[in-house]
Amino acid sequence: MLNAVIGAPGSIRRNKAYFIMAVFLPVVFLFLVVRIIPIISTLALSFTNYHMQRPVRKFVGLENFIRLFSDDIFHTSLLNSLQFVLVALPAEIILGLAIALMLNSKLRAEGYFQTLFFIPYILPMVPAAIIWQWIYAPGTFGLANFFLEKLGFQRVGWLIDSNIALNAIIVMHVWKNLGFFIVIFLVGLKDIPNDFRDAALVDGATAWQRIWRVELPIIRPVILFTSVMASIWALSAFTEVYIMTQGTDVSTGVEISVLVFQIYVEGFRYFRMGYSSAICLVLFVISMLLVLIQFRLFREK
Amino acid sequence: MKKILPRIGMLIAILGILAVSAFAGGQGGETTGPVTVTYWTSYPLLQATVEHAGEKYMAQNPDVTIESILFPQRAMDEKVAVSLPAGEAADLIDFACFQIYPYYYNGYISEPPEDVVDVLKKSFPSFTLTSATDPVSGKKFTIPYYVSLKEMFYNTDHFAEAGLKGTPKTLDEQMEFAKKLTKRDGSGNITRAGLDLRLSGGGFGTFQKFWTQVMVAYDSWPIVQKDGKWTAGYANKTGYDSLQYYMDAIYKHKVEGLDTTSDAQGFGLEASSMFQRESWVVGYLKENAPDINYSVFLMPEGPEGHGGTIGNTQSFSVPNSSKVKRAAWDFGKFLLSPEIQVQIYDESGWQSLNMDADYSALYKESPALEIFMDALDVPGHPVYDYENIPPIMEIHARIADRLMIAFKDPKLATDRKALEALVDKLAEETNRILDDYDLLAK
Repeated sequence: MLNAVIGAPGSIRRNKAYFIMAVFLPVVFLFLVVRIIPIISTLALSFTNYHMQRPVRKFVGLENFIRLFSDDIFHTSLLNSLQFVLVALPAEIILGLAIALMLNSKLRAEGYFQTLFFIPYILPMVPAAIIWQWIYAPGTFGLANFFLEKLGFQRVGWLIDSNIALNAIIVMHVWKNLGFFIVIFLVGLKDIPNDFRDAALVDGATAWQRIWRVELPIIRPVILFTSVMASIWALSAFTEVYIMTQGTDVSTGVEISVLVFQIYVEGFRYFRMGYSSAICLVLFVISMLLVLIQFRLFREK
Repeated sequence: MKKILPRIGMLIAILGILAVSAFAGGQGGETTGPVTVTYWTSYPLLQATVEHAGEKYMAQNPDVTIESILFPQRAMDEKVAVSLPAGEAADLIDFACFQIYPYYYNGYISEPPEDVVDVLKKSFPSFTLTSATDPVSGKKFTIPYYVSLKEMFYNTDHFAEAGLKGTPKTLDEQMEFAKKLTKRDGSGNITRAGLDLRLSGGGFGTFQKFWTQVMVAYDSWPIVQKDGKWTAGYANKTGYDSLQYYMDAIYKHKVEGLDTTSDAQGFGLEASSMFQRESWVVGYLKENAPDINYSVFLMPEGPEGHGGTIGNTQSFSVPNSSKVKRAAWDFGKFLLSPEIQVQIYDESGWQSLNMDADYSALYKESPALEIFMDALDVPGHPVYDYENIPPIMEIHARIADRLMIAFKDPKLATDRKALEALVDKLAEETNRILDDYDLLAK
């Protein structure tokens, strides 16, 4: 059977097979070391009481998970992460699509607008988060409150009021990533053969009908891709939460904690690596479920 | 082509062996000959000061190179947690005594030699010896060399403007002063907090400031010893009253707001009239707000006359894995000398501890520094430090996390039962953490 697959010994086909395996071996090795082994290691750690400051590692079964589900800070983090997905995902998809559709309508200076929207995406997250932290600074020292007061409104505790802080960070997250989705949608829209649009025009379809009944169904795989990316990015949001909760003038990290932030806090602030790994596993399961749901929703009928 | 696979396999094996040997920590003996002593800290001004001290030391000891490295504060915690057990940490680690204690407890830190400890015994305040002592064995495990002592900064112009004479001696007086100092705009928003309280921020700092500001005065303690073990010490009237003071400040007397610019920055911008911090603020104000007229007063007492402050001693420690222990301890001893202690206080602003040093030149320029130094030895104003037990930092950080949420709940200001229930819940978590470490008193 091996001969049937990779050719008989000494044959050119077998030699080619060996060459291909040899070329891929370093890559596979790196993938194992950097991805697979850490994942398996994290999975194993989640069932232990490993603490970085103590040279003790004992198997504790499901104790970490039991504690997790009675930990109200974990509940807060979980709900915040889900809120992040529920707000950021539709915002990025709808806004991204809307702007891409506008840019696709033979707009003048289309390239200029594409660049403008893409710049936040290529900006590193840390300086972007710091800038937004200044924008949201309390009192009148922050740009947002400065303009609010100039317009006669009351100033807002953007990063202090727990009802607002997470949404303020989500706004920053959406602003940062929107350019990516616009470009992806634009590529998808430009890929649609004009014949379809011409046929719709001939049939008397309005612009909205053309978009809804012709363009969107065709770019369904693109929407699935962006939806998966948006949900993964939302679930794995950390840097913006971490940066924007630094300093003594902002909201507590706990109230607006998200799952990845909680993983960091438990693992690197309290050094409870076993417990932190348990949160990792829960996040992994949630992410997989979300992706599976999206694949099911968007599958071709 | 048949030979490619085994050859690549051999190459990977060789690379793997090289990688493993590169990462393997050597546990060999002391290095002889020219050596490099690395020093890690997370305080920028201190790093620069130690660098300058290192230059002086190297001039006297040409065989020794001192490398002073700075890390951001949270990164330093993580760096030490990862590298110390792996035997890859610096030769001198600048950490608070309570921060390095868990590592000593788990066998990663070496005990200081007697000649270095003798300097402490001769010239340093007695509480530093307590901070540096392992409560289990009674042995010294680190060497304190400066202190993070907290007292109250106040804006003298604001006090004069409000017609206030003297400084508050009790918490109640402090609140009355704060009410007169607070300013608001037309919409009722606070434009100047009479009393700036630390209401947010990462790590355990928020609870540290809370402990210093009110708990000490109310004689309330994060943990107390009982039958050789520990238990939460604040689930009682003293703890409830402590939190009530903060809530009253924010919601009843409104001398502090959730969105006022706080800390040294706020004080420098005149967004607050009083706030609690350490001596490094003197240098900060000199550089960033030289026109501010200010002074310092001691932390006020509570209603029962209990007073004091928190002064967590910062120390240097040498890991067991260091190959240059002798050189590291010798440089550490150099940092304790009167000349370098004056330099630390002058250049970094962090408060030195050598009582034999002459700081008079610094006091002429910044009188507030003298108040801090005198505060180390005032009758009725003891200086307390953190307890040396492994989970102390986690206990404080978790309380801080929950307190920061509590400060934003206006209901707690008027609903005493809810406030007490919250404090009790915090205490349950403290006890759970103690139990995890088998330190909970039954």
